[in-house]
Amino acid sequence: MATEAKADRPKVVQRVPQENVRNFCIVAHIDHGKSTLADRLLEVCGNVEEAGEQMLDTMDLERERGITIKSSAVRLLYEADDGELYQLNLIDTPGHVDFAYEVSRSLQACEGAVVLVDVSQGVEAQTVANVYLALEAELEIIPVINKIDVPNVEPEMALKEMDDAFGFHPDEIVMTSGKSGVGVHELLEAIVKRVPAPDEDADAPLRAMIFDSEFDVHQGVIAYVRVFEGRVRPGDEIRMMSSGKRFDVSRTGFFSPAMVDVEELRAGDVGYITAGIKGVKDSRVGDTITCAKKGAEEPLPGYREAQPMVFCGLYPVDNADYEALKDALDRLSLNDAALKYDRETSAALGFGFRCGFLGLLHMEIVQERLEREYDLDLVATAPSVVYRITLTDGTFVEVDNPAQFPPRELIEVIEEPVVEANIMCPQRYVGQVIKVSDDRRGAYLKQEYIWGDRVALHYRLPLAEIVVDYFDALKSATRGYATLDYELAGYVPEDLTKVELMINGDPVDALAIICHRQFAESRGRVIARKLKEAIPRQLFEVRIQASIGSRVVASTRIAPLRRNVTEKCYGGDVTRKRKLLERQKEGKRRMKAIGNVQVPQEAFMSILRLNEED
Amino acid sequence: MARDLSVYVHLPFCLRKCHYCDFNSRPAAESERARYLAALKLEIQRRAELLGASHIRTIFLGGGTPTIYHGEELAGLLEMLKDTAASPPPAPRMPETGGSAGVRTTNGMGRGGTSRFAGPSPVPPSGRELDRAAPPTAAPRTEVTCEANPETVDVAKLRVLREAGFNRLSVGAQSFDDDELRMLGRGHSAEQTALAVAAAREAGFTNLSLDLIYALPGQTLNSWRQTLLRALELQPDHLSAYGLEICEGTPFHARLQAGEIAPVEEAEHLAMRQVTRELCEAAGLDRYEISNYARPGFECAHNITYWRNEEYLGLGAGAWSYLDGVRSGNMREPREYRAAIEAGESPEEYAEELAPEDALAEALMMGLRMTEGLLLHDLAQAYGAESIEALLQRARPLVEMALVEVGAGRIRLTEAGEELHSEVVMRLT
Repeated sequence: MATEAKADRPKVVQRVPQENVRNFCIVAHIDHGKSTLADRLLEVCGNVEEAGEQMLDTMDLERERGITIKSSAVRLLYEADDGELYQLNLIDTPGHVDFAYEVSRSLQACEGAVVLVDVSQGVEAQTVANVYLALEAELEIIPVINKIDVPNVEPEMALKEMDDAFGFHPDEIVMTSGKSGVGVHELLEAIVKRVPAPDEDADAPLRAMIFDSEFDVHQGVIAYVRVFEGRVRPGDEIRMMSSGKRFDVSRTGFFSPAMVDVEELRAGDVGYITAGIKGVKDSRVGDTITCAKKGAEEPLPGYREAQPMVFCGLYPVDNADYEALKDALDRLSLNDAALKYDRETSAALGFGFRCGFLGLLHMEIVQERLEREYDLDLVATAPSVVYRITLTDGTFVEVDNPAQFPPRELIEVIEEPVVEANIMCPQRYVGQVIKVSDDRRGAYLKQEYIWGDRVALHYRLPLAEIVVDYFDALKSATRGYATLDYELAGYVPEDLTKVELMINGDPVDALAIICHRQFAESRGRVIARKLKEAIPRQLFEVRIQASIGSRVVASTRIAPLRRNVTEKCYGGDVTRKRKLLERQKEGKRRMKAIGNVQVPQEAFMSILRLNEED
Repeated sequence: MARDLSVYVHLPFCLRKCHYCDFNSRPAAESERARYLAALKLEIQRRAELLGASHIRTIFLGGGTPTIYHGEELAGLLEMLKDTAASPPPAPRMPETGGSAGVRTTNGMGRGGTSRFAGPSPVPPSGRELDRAAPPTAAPRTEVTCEANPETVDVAKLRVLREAGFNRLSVGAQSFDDDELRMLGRGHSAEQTALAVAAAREAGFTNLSLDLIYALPGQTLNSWRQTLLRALELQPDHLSAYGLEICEGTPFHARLQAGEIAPVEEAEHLAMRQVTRELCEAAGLDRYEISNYARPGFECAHNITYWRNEEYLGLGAGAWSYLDGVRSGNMREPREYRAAIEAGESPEEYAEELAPEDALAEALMMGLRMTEGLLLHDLAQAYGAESIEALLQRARPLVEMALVEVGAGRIRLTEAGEELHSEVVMRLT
């Protein structure tokens, strides 16, 4: 594919001096039009014939969700108004709070950032957060107001918010429409004029930062790198500075967006390296690549191993699919360094895996890919955070599975992770945000009137509450106006307890949750009721109980099914009726048997969706 | 040996559509009804070979409201069917109609039906016998049923039918409460039903069935009891009682969606079924299928063909056939059906040759509707001993739950099992 691309577009491989290189990214809130604008840049620079459906987002799933999970980097050649040829490296960044670290690495690879704001949406919390990250990375910022083709929307509000939030003056702001192409030329000129060229030493020992990596079945890992010092070419032996692992470089090049090989990448360049690396775990985002011999002494700053924050159990509905699930996780993790998984056994669910994720979205994406791409029927248990527990004998354990909580009498202190959350919303929703946050054990920190009628509220919240439904609750309480951005802020001791659920007298480990003692009883009651709704009637009575320790706090029953018959069935009904029964049977097959009770997949997650009842 | 065959004829027209009805039924102009009848006769002609080569056990005219047609029209239709069946096959028997074992594997349950029946169906002597041209064996008389709505029959019309050879009348009574009849959108009163029954008796129908619907929105156990008592007073030989099923696309469904009506609670529904059983049995009508009751010997032979998964030929719009292990269905829309027939094309729009496991599933699904259940020996012969072993394995927990009984060489549902027929069949297949 690479050679074809080369043949088609010879001008892209043309080398330009370092002073004509511009490395930049686009930061934007979801749906503010980043991908469409990026595609338009590609089109204008001749990389693609015509802007297709968001070329930079490659996975179907990403496209459906309208978000970018992985970043990509595309090289553009742009002949500027000054007559010079410029090499523009556009680095795409992920757009969700789960992937904040990846964002920071992408920013690190750049000298400039295009800050994109939707003319009708204005500045969002996430945009503010990302602009701060870009400023921290000392990037030159080009503010852009996008979607100016949208009818009946005046840019005044967005202009004012840009000024209020960041002090950008109207004359600095580029007005664009990714859809129609208006302003794209002006944007390219601004990038050339305002973003500084890299100024780096190509003769020093190699130091290249991985800002993304992707696994390809044919060539192994494709590492997206920014070369800060030195040079790298096929045949070189390289070393990953975090692990010391060595690899032989097989290809170097860039994306146009097709892969285009070049004979070397050198200081200032953005591109890819392949080196027969078997999985992205050996090519971690943020790691520094150097040469194996006479390599750099120090890695580039800022490497951090991806830390899963949310855990859940993933079990095949059919135990026979355990190996298939393991295989699927192995393959997914080739491309997802943040995905952690370990074997786990549940009395209720059989053999499965405890999986760790960056956040809920990451968890949902993985689960969906496993089901869709690997055709697995899975049960996911309610997500949990990692609790730190000091036992009475002084030992210290970390527990990410409520089922494995030590008995109460052995616990001295339980600590739970907390986050500092930054919620932005129009002023009229402040009351609702406070209520939603207070209901979820939030501690109010401060409130800022940032601009216009926009308010930023700062809360310290248990991560567990965020995992449950905080964001959903915020969205519904503010009619979708609130935005949320958070980061981990350590552990604090809390009075937590385990709530267990029993089905026909047997505790179901997969349904246990940890929650604050104050809410334990009401949660137990709500969960029992939710389960009653989620579990279809069986041929026998099903009793559902919630207990805290040995105390039963809620009890309900599902009456046995006594009638399920088509009373009128003659010659014309046979095939239709048989097929109906087959479909119903298929539905049953997708339920998990706990004891002899058929429990649908949704039941395990439904225990979390408690907001309106709480 | 002639194959045994039941024949269903669909007459899809009615005076007006009832509020609960999702059958293939609609009002139509008389001219359209006439053209349909002509098309039907053409289809009968096309089936001459099969009909001539078969021993016709039962004929059933269903609808719609068949009696929307004039007595003479129905008589003519039956006449033609009889004549076609009476004509010897025009050509040497084709292998596929000769019952060669190779193509009939999925239909093994169909053999020797009547011998397993609780008692031979003693159709009262009447009219001409259809079987006169059949091989000179002691073949039983053919059961010939016509469905009728009370407001579309009188003694004269019924006499025409009776004389033409119809020997069983199935009257759509549905309820004996005039308010309920109005709610159902029926076009008759309880009194009219009683008159229709009297007329049928007068016309010589000695095998008469009533159809009733219960579990109507707002119906009480007591009002259902009253309907049942009034029905039984008329001394039907057979009674079908169906719980109302509110189907999508019906006015009832719209009202359900709008929250204007609510389905009867499960416990109430079960109580209604219980009272049905009790009152029918007290009146000498034994239950022999989930929803069907009869005086001994008056069980509906035609419907038993379906439940025993035996062969039948369906004629008319939306009619289904089960022949040589293939289930097939005609186009549902009467106009489409008619147009296809008139154009000399096949009216069939669906056909499926059943895989053995599907055939077994259907045999179980249908056979377990009958109180007598299924003979394991027959099942093993038709589907192989191994699949019956597996069936019995799956039956075990259901036996423990007292939903299924296995014994005396049979598998059958208990009363509780019948109420959960769908659930049980899912677990058995």
